[in-house]
Amino acid sequence: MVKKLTLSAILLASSLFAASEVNVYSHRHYDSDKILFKKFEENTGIKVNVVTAKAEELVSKLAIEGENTPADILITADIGNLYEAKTRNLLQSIESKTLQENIPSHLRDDQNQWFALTKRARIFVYNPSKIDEKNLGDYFSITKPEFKGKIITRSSTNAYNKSLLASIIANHGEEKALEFTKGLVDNFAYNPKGGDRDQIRAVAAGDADLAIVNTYYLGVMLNGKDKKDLEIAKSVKIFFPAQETTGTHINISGAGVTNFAKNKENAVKLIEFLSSEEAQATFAEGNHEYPVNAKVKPSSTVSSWGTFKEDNISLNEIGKNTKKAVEIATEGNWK
Amino acid sequence: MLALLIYFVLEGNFNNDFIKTKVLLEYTSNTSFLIVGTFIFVVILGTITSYLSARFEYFGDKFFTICFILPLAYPAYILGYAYVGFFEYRGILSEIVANNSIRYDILNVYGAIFVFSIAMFPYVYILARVSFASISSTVFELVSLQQMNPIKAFFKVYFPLAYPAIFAGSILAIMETLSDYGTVLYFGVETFSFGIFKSWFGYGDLAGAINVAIVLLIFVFGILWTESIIRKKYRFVSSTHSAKKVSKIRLKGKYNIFAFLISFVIASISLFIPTSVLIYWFILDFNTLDFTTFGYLLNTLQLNIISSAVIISLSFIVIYMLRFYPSNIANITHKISILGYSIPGAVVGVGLLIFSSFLDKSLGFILFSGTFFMLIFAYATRYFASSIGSIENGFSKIDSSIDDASKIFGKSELQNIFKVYLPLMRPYILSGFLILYIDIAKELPATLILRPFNYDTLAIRIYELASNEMLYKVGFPSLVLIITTAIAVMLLNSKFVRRKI
Repeated sequence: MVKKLTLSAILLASSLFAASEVNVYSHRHYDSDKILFKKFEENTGIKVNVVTAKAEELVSKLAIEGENTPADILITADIGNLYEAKTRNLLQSIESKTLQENIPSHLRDDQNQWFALTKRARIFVYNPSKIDEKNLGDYFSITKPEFKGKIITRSSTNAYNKSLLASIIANHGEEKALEFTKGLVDNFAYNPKGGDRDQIRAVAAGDADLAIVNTYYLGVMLNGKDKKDLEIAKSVKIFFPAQETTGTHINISGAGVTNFAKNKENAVKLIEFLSSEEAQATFAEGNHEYPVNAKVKPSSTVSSWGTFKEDNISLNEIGKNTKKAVEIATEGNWK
Repeated sequence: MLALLIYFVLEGNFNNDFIKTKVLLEYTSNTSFLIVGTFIFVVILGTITSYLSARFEYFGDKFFTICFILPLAYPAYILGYAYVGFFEYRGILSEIVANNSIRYDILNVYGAIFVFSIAMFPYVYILARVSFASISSTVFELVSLQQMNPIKAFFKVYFPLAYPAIFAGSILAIMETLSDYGTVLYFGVETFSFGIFKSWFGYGDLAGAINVAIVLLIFVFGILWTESIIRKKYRFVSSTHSAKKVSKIRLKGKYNIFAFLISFVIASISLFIPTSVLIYWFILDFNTLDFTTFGYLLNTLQLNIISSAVIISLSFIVIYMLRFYPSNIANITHKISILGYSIPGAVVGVGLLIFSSFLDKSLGFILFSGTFFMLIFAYATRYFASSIGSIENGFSKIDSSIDDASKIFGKSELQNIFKVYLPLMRPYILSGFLILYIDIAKELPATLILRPFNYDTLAIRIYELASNEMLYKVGFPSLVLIITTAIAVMLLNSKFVRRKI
């Protein structure tokens, strides 16, 4: 009895002494993440402290703080900024068998500096009464003259569009990417404005015939409380581009342990937890993103879109070309 | 700001032509169009509402007095979202009239002008109302002696008297429009602020961002310079200690209806319609309401009240020093401190991050980074202008004979401040406090970067939900934000009423 008491006292003391916590800089601001952090706290007793901000700002913040940074983990909603953090030596390599098992190798950094947590596909959403699916193919297919004045998408400053263009550079080279940009801009119904939801709505309204959007937003619209959003999202059709060639471009949300992490062990534990089946199911159901853990299925809405061929090009290749993508977007006058 | 400048000079590469002249020209013309449009509407709306509310009694006047301040509680981009939700395809308007073809595309520069105008005119309203209300009876006697008709009297006498306040308010509106990023991005209007973000964060091109920022600063200097010239032309002192304030005019018959209608239309456009949209969203979201919102509310209140009190005290000190111990340094400090308002919050945030990090590294331990101190510092940098405007306006209404009189009585300086100046300035201090309180409640970019861990405010919650594009979720926290502001307005208002300014 005495032994038991002493043991539990020691355990209690050590858990108190450890002041267990992990500090997260996150660009993901979803309720699903909040739920998961809470679950992790309950499971492990490790307190999760979070600051959310925009990814570019968080990367700047890490760089400015240097070794004084309180952050242990950086989470972003796109690959570009994670890659940027890696090249600026703000992340460190970590060894984790769990992460290697849970996350396929093309969704991990080759030096284990970042790990994907969720995926979104960059797809076409179109008005079936205006566009025949037969005329759609890869991303270049919408730059054909027959689509003049019919295409819309968000600004080129949007991280998802930057990564899309970077993937085109990585797959086809700069020249083709510029060609794509110019063709796209030529076919714009109007200059980029609004969010992804507005692009989908504009297609439903007939202002444009086709928009390049992110699967996640469509999933959210199809599961929201706003009935009109639901009807609008149902009235458009989805097309997964580049099925015959490279596969549809996917972007990731991902996490990495910071270079000067003070709570490295806890940081690894948290990322491992986020890749677990339990957490991946929460991402999938709560947020309609594609899980990275192969054992977990997408939400029923996302599953209903069917399976598709993904572009499996190394995400570091995409990250590497992000800066070039920006220059090409500027040169091609993509606002 | 200094830290930013040093950082820019150290890190920047000025020999680049990435941001081409063409792009800069485009930013300049877009920005000019946006702020000229906003300026015109802000002055018109602000003057009408403040004059009506300060000078007349009519049906519903007390109610409208509060209504005209409240649009300020909404971050401009929320008003933008609300109006897009109202006018868009299958939006609320088309639902009300049961006609799917009714819709208006407001995602353009005109829509942005509309949104900024209804979001910002209360700055003019708040400042000018105090001015119109404190016009002394002598002025009115003069007007009636001259037998001027009311319209002529307004443009010849009253408007010039309230002019410094109207201009101060519209400068705030313009500065805030210049620093806005969220709304212009959403509306697809490429302004300077848009350009700074696009270059710095979007393109990782610091040098380009500096170029744009420099042009923005020149632009702002131009505005402030013009303002100071115009203001010199209208230097009036109408003392607040004059024997009699004129009582409000009771409107009757068609004038009563007319005043009510004008007020109702302005309040509908700027407040009732967007609020109804939010309430509609709130109802859609009713079953899954997130009551952690009240936790965000507590954080917001705590941070706001402390920061506003600090900033208003600082402004009082600066203006007091300028009045009694004028020097060039004080003058320049004052002018530069106003510039902060036009600098995008994220730029201020990153600048202070560099500054606090530098301090901590010099100290060898972490004292400033990630603390409330830096956050309050950021608010002071950004919002000094909004409190200094009202304090300055207040001091300008105190006749210099009071300075002399208080010197003759030989009381200590502190006694003078507490017994003479603070009481005389009370309405101006309160209106300054109110503007600060509202500004800080809405502040997003600097708060995002600088706040400590696990410290989310209402504005941050609203931003998170809005960037998920689940607009109906934005309803509840936005309504909570505006209700707090409404309470603050009513508290201040009741004091205005009780102790007659």
